Amino acid sequence: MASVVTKAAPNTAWFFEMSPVEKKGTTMFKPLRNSLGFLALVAFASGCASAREGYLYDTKAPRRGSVVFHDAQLTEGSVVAQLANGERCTGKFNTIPDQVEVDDETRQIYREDSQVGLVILKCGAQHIVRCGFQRDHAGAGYGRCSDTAGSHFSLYF
Amino acid sequence: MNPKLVYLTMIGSLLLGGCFGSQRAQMYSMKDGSASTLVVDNPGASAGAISGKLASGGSCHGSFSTLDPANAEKLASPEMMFTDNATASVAMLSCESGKVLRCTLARRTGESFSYGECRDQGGTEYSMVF
Repeated sequence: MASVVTKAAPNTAWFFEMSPVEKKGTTMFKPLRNSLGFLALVAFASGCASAREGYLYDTKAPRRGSVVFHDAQLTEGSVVAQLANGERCTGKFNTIPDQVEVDDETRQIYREDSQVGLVILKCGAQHIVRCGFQRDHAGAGYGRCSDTAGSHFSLYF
Repeated sequence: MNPKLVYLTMIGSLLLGGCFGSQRAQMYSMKDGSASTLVVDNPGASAGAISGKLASGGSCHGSFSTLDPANAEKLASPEMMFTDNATASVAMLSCESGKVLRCTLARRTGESFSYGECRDQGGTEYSMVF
């Protein structure tokens, strides 16, 4: 079966690095294997498993940490981060629509040009970082964060 | 007991208990990082019941309703953003411990909640992502 490796690129909307790996198998499963491989490629190429990388800048010192939004094309998903002090965090984000395109007849939103959202990162046992952010339809965004220690960060992705 | 009967009883209990119609989030104190739980009954409605359990163990009960996003923004911290193309809600919860939580919540119109924050009478903030 072909395997696909996704890799988030800094400030790049959705970047995929695909490396097919051939493995020995029986002939009976070859058509199935090829179909599954094709489906996996289609799924990954359509952005089902996209990630977006960014930075968490300390506002009081010239240093930065990193952040990766998994499922960045979706309206909600998981986030991992590493703060400038090396502390690792995991969390999730969720969004609401900001600028939208509305169908004239149905008045339904058919496209979200931008979104705003909130990220909560759980870092240490008692260390929580929260970020409010805004992002465009390509996934690029900016936010501001505060944590339980009273520190502030700027988020760019 | 008949396995089918057990299965139907479990499904019925879940439905009667409202498990399919509620939404739950972990609510983190921005003072000490402790995690509480918030449960919104019928999250697709414009108003309804909301409850919670604080990290200290006390239960909270209250209600939520919809308000103008511009007004919600005035009540919330700078990190909590609202827009005119989504729905904003406000909630009040009274807790057994004597705490009173005032919450602002955001969601896609007609859908369940996305995120929110609460503040108690002492000024402590609690944040949540659903």
